Amino acid sequence: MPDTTPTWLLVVASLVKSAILIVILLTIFAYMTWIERRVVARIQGRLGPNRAGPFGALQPLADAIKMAFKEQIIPAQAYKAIYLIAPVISVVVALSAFAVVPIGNSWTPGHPSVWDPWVGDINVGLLWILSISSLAVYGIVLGGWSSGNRYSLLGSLRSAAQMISYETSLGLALSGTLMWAGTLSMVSIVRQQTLQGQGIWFIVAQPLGFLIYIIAAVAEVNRAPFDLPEAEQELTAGYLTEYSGLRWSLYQMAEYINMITVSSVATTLFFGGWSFFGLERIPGLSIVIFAVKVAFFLFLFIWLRATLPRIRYDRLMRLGWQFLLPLAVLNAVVTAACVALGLPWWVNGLIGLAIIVAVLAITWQRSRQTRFAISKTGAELLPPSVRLVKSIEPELGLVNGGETAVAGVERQQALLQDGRVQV
Amino acid sequence: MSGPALIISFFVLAVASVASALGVILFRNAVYSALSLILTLLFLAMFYLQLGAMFIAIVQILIYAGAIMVLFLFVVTMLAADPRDPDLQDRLPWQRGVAAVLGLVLVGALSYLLLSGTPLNEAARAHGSEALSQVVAQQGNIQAFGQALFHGFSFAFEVTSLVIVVAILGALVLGRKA
Amino acid sequence: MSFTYIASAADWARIAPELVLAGVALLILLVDLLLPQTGAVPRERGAANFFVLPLLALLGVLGALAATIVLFVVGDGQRAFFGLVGSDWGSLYAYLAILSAAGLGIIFSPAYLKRLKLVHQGEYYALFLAATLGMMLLAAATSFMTLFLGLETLSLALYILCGFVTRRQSSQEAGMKYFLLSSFASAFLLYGVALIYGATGTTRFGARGTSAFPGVLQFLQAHPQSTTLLLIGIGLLTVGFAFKVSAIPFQMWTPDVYEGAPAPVTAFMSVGTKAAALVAFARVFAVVLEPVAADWQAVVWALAVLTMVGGNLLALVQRNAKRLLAYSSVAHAGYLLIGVVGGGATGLAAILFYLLCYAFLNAGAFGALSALERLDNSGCDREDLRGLWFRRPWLAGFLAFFLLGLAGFPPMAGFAAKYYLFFAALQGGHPELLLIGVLTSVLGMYYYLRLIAAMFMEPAREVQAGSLEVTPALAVAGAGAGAGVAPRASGPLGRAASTRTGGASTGAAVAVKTAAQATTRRAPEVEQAPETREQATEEGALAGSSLSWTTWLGLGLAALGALALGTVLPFWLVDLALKAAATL
Repeated sequence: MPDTTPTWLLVVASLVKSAILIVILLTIFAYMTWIERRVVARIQGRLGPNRAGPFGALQPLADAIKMAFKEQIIPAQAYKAIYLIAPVISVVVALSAFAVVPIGNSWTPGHPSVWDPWVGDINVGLLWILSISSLAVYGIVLGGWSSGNRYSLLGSLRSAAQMISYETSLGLALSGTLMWAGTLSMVSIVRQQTLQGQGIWFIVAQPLGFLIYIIAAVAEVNRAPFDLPEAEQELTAGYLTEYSGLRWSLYQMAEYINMITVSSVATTLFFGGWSFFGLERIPGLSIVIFAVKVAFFLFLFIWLRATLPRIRYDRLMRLGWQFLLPLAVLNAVVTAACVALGLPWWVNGLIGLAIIVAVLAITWQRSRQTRFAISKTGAELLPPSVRLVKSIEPELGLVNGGETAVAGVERQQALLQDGRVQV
Repeated sequence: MSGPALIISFFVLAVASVASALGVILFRNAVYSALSLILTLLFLAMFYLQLGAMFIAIVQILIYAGAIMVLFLFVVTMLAADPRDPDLQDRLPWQRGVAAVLGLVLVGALSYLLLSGTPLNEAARAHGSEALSQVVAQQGNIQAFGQALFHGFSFAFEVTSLVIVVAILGALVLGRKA
Repeated sequence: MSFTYIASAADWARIAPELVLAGVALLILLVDLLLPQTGAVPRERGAANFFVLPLLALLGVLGALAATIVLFVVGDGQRAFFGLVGSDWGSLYAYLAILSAAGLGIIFSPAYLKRLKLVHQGEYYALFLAATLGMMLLAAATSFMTLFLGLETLSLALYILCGFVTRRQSSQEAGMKYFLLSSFASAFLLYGVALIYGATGTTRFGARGTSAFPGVLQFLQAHPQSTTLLLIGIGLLTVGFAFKVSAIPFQMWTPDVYEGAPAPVTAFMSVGTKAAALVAFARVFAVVLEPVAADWQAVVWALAVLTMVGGNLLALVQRNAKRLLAYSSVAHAGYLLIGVVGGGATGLAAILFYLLCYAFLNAGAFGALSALERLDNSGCDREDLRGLWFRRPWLAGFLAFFLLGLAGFPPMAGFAAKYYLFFAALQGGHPELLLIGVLTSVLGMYYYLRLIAAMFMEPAREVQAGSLEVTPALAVAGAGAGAGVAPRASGPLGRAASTRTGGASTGAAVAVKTAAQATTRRAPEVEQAPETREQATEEGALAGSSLSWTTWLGLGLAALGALALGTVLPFWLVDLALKAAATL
């Protein structure tokens, strides 16, 4: 900001813009719930909410009225103060993170003013988002703990472990883009991707980084298929179990706002933010461009939820630590080398694509055969997930020669002796 | 920020951070202590912010409040014992008295020093903070930090990586089943 | 102030010893991963582990030693990495002590680990080398940054090594205690560093006689005004350092940690930490903060006196040899602080030389104890050592040798070292420290000799029934006390006693204990049912002279070093130390 702008004006402008942003975010949240239900219903061949208003468009309003008038139950065993404040922490944190996201081009490009469509352009913008959203876990952990309920506690601990695990990959995945952008300010990152900057969206230089980011982001906001903290089959509703009424909807609100935030970050860092090959010079249009891009990612979240089953918890952890994190480190190293050696962006992009293809090929190949685990006695064991459903009979039926049949029987006996397979 | 605004915000923050730090040791419930600690760390971040050290402030939140304290809370919420458990009663109650007296002595000595001598000579300010703020003004906050980290103090940076390797090894040794 | 520096190849060459160690530490982890699995035996329990990994670690230490010597000869002694770390002779001299201790500790390790069935040695040796590296960084630090990082590296590695015997509660306790208290002390130190930075505007030390990379020293020379920030900073710094060198009243952790930690680790850490921390202490106080010496000298003086007197007095009442040595190391820290107070080239040189001698003596003593220690951390009480001479004469001889050296008897290194230190006190204008030092050394002889007396004069508990008539010796006393009783004993006893009466010219009273009293021993360890079998095998390994050759090698090397430092090399090495101290 130029020095001519008085401080009080800056403060007032920030406050007003924050208020507008909050209203926008809450509206999007409300309509996201409706859109999600409609989309999921469509994918599942149902109708979804279609009674309140045209196409059920007034459903969010009806829900809001219902939630506001529901009784808010406080369990007797709860730690009351923390129980009451935990959902608020979640929402406040989710809303604050959005403060540095530029949702459109400045009205007078090149001349910053108080009218710019972002609350604040700080020089550590991206770190702000990361650090504030890393606080989001407190809302969940405290909510789970203060409910005084085992399911809640377990759900919240799962969530904490999950968010910590994926935060590392998430941050590392973003570091590649940062190296190309050379700045942490969200506005400057977008400028770097316009035609006046480097002229590319960073997705083309960072395909691997984007892939890691989007997987980690889904886990970070606890959405399907990584919605372990609220896995109803195992934990009733996880940390939400004891919550009802408005406070329950506060958690929902935080979840959806977090979704919007990670979508915005993906848009800003990998898809050029509000830029679209020169079209962004019309300031009003830039906001529309941004909204469309974010909407695409939000749709992706819904699509994923309707398509993929929930992943098992140990696999979630393994994916995070043993797969995503090494890949993210690899990506950071490759990118650092490319940037340091002054190589053009497409080299980095090609290497990233090659790694993705290689990983997919290996995964594909390994998924074609059943992987046997070796037990302590040296016998081959079916992997735990297969053991339950796969009988041993068909395996014996497949073998032709006598020798192999014997081997099959021996193996079966070894499996039985090992005590881990029951016929 | 300058002048009275700086002074006022400093004292507000100082009182708040000391109060929350006291909470860490005074709460009987370990979870409340951990929360107090988080609050203290957030106040510290605000101190840095007040000094114009944006990057350090954000990193303070990211690392301490966002990562380390979550692990603390993780363990504390799972293992926190009931403070009324007789096994957890203070076995050496006389230590409190001694600690209080010694603490008072320390506070007294420090206050005496603070009130009697010159706290800081101008040369140090010119040598340290002012020179630093010139660099920051020239290069920008993060850029100056990065230059210092990867050029002037690159050796310290590399040694830090060694410390982390050692820490990982340690976690491996301690976490392994006997 | 500008930060646009690029590190040059010469910078890397100046830290060659550290680089060698870091490389080998990582290599060990890799080799540990690649070692073949022998049949059904899991990889980490394989026989190769007990040979390949220690050998590799030892080679790493020897490589670092070689690099140090090369640097002595051809190095330029300049600061590396923009004044962050030194490669001066003072640092290199400290490397010698640290690396000697590390080498001895590694040599003592395989036999110990094998006996206690400790696997996962890749981590053990890697941490060992990392701790060594941390100590070297601490000793060579010429910036508060490096100082703190070195301190953290060595502390972190040592916490883990202290708690490495996961099946032994005292080991876990040692690790935990060390961790908690040491972190507390580190916080003090860090706070002190922060305040000194605030008071001077720099974290570099700055070298004497050159204006390249100016630091605290140059600032204080220009403004020798003790501002409040500086004073508080120095105070907190003193607390942090006093903890690390285990000076009284910050010594509480020492006996518990030294006792609980595995003996080879204790052998290494008791020397290495002390050497590194004291060199850093000496560099920071006697060199960098020298312009404001009037502000801190009284405090360090008091610390030195308290530590000398308190350490020796507390050692008197110890029954466990490891605890006794721990308190004796506290006392030695007190002697070493004399050098800091005395200051000047003589004082610093005396510290450097003393540390080198102390490395061999203390590591040797703990190495001998490592051959006696059992899994449950018993075997090092005075009761257990009783009559060791009859069971394992060589081991007892070595232990007695090191103890006498620590007590300061010529011709072992301890005497020469103490001589130079007390000389430095006199030259630094502190005759009272000389007096206190000598008096407390005399006090110290009592407990060393009592331990030796237990080994040589008193019957072993296993053979008491028969030994009553074999060894009728009842009482022994130091000659200087005037109550010298001629030992009426068989050959070996006579020899040992004559050594002592010959050496103890300064005088010391030695325990008087009858053989009858000796029968009031601890209850046998039958009640420890679950560990009986392991105990039995351990006893089998302990019995007779089935000691591993590596232990003998370590003991021999330590004894040789101690002897050489005391007789052949003192003058040359002291000259070197004097030159080295001038470069600190």
